[in-house]
Amino acid sequence: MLPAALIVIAIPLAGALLAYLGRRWQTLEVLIALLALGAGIVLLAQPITGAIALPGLTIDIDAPLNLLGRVLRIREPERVPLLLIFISTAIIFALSWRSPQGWTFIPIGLAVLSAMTAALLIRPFVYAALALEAAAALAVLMIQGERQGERSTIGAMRYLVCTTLALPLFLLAGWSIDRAGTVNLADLDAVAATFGASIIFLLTGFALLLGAVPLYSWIHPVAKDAPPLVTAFLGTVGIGVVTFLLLSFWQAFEWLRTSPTLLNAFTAGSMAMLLFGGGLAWAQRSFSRVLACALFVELGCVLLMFISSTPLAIESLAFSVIARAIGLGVFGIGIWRLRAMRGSDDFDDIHSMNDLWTMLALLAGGMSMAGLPGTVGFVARWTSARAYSNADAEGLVLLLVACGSVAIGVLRGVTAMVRQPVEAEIVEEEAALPPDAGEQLPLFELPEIEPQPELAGALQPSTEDAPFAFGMDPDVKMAAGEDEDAFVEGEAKPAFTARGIHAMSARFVIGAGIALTIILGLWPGVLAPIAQAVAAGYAFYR
Amino acid sequence: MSQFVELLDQLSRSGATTLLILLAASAGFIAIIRNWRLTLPVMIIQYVLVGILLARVIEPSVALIKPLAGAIVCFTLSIAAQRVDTQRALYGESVAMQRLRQPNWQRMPAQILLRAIAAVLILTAAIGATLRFPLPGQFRELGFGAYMLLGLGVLIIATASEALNIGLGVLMLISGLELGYTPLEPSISVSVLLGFMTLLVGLAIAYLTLADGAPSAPEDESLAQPEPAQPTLL
Repeated sequence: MLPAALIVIAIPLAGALLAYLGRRWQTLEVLIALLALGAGIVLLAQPITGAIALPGLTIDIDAPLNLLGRVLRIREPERVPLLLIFISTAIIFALSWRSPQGWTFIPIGLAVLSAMTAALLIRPFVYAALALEAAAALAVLMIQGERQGERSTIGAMRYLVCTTLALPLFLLAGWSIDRAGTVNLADLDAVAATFGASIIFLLTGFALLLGAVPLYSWIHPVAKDAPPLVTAFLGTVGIGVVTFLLLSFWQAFEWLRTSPTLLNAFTAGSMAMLLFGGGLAWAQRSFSRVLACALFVELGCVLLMFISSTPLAIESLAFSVIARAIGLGVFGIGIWRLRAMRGSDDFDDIHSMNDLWTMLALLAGGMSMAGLPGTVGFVARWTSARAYSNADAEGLVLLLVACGSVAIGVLRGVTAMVRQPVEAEIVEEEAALPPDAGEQLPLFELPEIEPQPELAGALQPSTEDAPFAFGMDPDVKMAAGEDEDAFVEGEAKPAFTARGIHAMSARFVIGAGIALTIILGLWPGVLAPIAQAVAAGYAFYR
Repeated sequence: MSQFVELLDQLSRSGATTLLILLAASAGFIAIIRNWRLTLPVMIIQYVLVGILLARVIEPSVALIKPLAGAIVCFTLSIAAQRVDTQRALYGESVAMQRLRQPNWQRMPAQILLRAIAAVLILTAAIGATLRFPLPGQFRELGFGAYMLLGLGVLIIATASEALNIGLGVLMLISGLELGYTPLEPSISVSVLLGFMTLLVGLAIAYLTLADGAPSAPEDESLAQPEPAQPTLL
């Protein structure tokens, strides 16, 4: 009799090893990852009391696994959330098929998933912090990818530091919870005196893990530095696991969910994050910054759901995991294409980039993150709005405004893509004027643009350097100087064009992602049973 | 191995004051000096001191995990740092050995003084925290060591800019955590898990050190140019 907990942890690890061996073949790597995740999904989809009989082997779903005296076990409240996490990871990995994010993405991503799965399954809870620290140490390799250079490690280092700072807080919280005796929960003063320190430790620890404190912690640097689908992975799987871990704490400790300190802190935190994310999203000048702000809005929404603490709120949390995976994933592909073609996702660097598929990916993913009707993000937002509407109208309005701000940020970026460069407009206007018009009507003078051969050389590195410059897989050879005819004088020349970026398979992946965004937005009933099963696993609201 | 265990056991019976003074000196030194050729050997000494302190609470054979894991991590980091220095030297940038031979006497005193004052303040705060908020258990010296390493680790993280130096702060933070938590739960599993954590974090820091120190891709012209010596490193 083999405990399923061991299999669920070991499968991604084995997949990581195989994917590492096959990292030179992108299709094989993705296939291995999907097979590993598929096996995990099949296992987690079994009823908790069930067993799987294989030749010479029986897998017991809820059998405990003892590891160094700690118990790892699949329980009903964690089974369906883990299923969601595995499905989300599969979606993100599948989206990376034609958008390679560096050799570390899939092998290390699977290892991170394994550590995060252990974090959800291990008891006592405090050891989850150790598993999350292990996941963070591995995730650093994903965030960094293959980028090099001074100050290129800020995002990765910030993520590691935030998780490490949370570690002692969880261990101290666990110790102080163990020491606390029985308390009458109706006596708030006694609760505060007994569990006050534990509440503060847990609150600060979770805030650090979620990137909520301080507001400018790891989310913005990671979104700026990491390959876009790595940000999507951390935003979905990382934040998802921490959210479900918090739900497990919520379920296990009644004093935690009735604590006024914690509820007040969650209210203040959610408002601050919605204000911060919503207030800044519309004004950002790059897509990765918009993505970071959208993640802040998501986190604000997640905290609002904890305040609400109803079955609908938990369904919303479950919906939001899948919605994040699809929205951030599709948006991430768009950002990756921008970086591959222009070397940047800054609005200033992407003008007159009429690439339809990039635009579609950014629009569909961005609008899903903003919660536009007809997208999967809307389902999560609408459920959140319904769950929170009875609690606080102001918070709901703030959430809607923040979502609108994200949408404006995305639209500004897409508008920047279709906008022509100023210099080109002037060249066209001058060409349209009669030969002597310039002498008669000297409207303005432009400084003469001199060719800068050294800068041009800097923008066209050798094909050996190129993959390392942008954190891509060395297998995807960058070809400098393609699309020569499309180059407009006065415009920053496209530094790199990834071979295969316009291939039919790349378009198929984007199309599939967009289709998924819309189909799940129009027929959320596909996901509803899973979300309801997640809610049914927790009983604290009864 | 048994000789090492016996040695650790004997050392753990020595006076706590000497151990704490040495621990404070090593942590203060790493917080003040930013040259890996000096700090990494001191970091190994610090791991040995942490191991000796842990051996007062848990089995010396289990406490031995900490210095072993720490030494492996420091060795890995030194290889990464050496490789980065070799690359930097090719680009004409200043490297650790050069900064040792030709210190920048104009800027160095101010920087060292600033960090030294901050380190002294944190050491004072650690003494205060040990007296006011003593960690449970009878091993007060471990509580002081924990507060000290946690505080100075955070100081390094907050003030350093290079991945290697920030990483040393993170590793010091984990050592402090181990000193503080082991008396609360003196089990083999905690020591093994934290030792494993040290190795994993060390691996991640080595990777980041290589990435951080490597010359930038010529994406930006200014980054491709050799830079002058960085006086902030020592």
